[in-house]
Amino acid sequence: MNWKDIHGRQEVFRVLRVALASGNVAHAYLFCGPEGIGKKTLAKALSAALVCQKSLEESCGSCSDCKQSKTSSHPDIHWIMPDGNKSLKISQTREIKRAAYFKPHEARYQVFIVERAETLTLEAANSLLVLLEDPPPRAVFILLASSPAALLPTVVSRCQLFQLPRLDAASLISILNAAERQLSLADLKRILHGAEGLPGRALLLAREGRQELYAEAVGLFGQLQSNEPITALADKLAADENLLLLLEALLTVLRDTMVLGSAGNSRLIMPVGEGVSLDCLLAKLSLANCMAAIEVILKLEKDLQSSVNVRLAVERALRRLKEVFENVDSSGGTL
Amino acid sequence: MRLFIPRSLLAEQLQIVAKAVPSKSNLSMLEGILFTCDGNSMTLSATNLELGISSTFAIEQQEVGKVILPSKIVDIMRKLPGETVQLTINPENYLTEVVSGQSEFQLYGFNPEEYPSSPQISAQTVEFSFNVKVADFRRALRQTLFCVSNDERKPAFNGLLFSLQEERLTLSASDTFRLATTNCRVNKAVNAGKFLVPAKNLQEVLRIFTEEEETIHVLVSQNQILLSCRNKRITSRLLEENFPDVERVIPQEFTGRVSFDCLKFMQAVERSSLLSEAASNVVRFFISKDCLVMRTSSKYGKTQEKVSAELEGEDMEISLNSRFILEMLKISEGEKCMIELTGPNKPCIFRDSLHDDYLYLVLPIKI
Repeated sequence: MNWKDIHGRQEVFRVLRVALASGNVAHAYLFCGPEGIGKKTLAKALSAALVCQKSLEESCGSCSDCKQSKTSSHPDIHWIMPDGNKSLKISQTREIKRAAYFKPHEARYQVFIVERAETLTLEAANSLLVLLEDPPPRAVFILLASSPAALLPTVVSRCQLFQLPRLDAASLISILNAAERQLSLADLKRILHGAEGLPGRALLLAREGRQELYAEAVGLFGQLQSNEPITALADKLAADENLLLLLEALLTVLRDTMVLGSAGNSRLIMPVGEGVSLDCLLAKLSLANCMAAIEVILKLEKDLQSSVNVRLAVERALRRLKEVFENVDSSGGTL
Repeated sequence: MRLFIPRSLLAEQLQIVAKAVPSKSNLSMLEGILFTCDGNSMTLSATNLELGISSTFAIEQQEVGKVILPSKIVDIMRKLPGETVQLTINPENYLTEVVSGQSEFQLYGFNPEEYPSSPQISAQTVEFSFNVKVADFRRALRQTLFCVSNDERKPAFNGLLFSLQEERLTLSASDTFRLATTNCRVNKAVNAGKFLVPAKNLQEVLRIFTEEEETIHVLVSQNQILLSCRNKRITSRLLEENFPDVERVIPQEFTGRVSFDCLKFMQAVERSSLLSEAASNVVRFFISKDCLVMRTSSKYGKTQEKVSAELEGEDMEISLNSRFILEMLKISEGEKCMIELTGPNKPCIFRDSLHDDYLYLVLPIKI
């Protein structure tokens, strides 16, 4: 992964490049931003540059180290992530500590990338802190987190912090083009609308197809209104890899319903695919109901960012949503 | 590729390298063992990226090839019924058939190209190199390894310090309560300097390099140490820590020097330690002109032992951890053992009459 392969992060690269070229690499970096902003991509590029044999500033892409970092099999790049949806445990930070005091296997540095650092337990964070305070000379730590506020201030203060901003449309388009996807203008528009400046989500949307997600979201509201048991639905959702994406689609559906309900103008919303209709929702949900449903989904999104039992959180949200829908019937209020 | 190998030979060689296979790794191919056959010899390699072991042995003329097989092969090879084993490797998907006697296994192998290359130390990257006799090196390891700390909070003390100077290698180990240093003669030494090797990996040297008359060739680069002896190679990452200056903590002047029979002393300490308290195993020593008295007391009772000894210098009372003493006496080879004393609350030095270079310093317990 080369710097120029990543679009729209020139300021970050400039800082990192200068640090790499002059040999003044910080012992710890903290990349912050929402899911899909490109933290991992950046960590990959930085770690590849740190272990490259040929070039100081960036990964040359051709030496054996770069080939290994490309396939995530470099012995000096360690990825540490929480098991499943749980937290990062003290046993994991102890393992980092043990490994960090070895000299690198073959490269100039050894790199420890801690994914979802916001899930570090208090003990684990404190144990990592000891390491960050007195780091071995040739170890570099890269922490990835949703926000610096989710970490201990003592940990944040020992890292060089990069808050990654959302990208503009031009950068997103160049990212989508680099991924070699032939996209129609309408598709591109839809993806940019849904991606909200997050390159990761844009790529996911391009792959998943936004139409299907939208249809799935409408279908889900339909299921909630029927008498289907919630537990089976919760099982299915909790196991869904694209749960967050689906939640975004649910929010868009609710937004569109509100727009249609209050303005009645279908040109104000993104074109809905064929065979999908919001009429049924429109008939049932009041503005207040929509707001309540949106709150439930936003709460679930927030919960999923911290270490929770996903299955339970999803089921709870579904029950709340069902209550919102049933409330409709009892009050009888429609738009 | 098809190979025929005597089963017991392969089983024995697999046991040698198996110790380096990690039980769990992010890189799944590391959980296997690399088989490389170059026609008339076979090399087995395993590594957990901190410790690597490889062993080469001669086989009768065979086909050339490579494969990574899951480490289950170690136990399979031990239990197979036949005299020889036939390995048939499909070069497309690395599915490997293992046949011996009436027994057949199919193992899912990995692409050998994915295996991390074992560290090569070339003329440009070598920082130190020397040759040492196996017997000498094993003796030096036995004398020092036991006092390395297991505490992961003190990474520097998890290692053994190698100091190379001219034709002499000094090994030092400490857990902050005691310190052992010893020398061994080396030859063809290149460069002088210090480096720190994880003690855990050196235990493997004791286990694997057992042919006492052979010579070990040692190469050290910036990050790695490579020890090779005949057909076996051990590589280990070095530790990135500074070991404290050993010379500074060793006292140069003594107030007394006592010597006694090693075996009798050891038996007496063993008996005394039976009643010592679990945590620090305190035994109190009263050293006078011609005898050494040790006393222990705890809630279970009291004991007193007397050993004849020769003291030059002042009488002394000192309390020591009996576990520390026993660990040293067990590896002591001479008939006599000496203690150099510097004061009741100051470190004392144990010496082995057979190895003048050996020094074992213990801090006393303050009472």
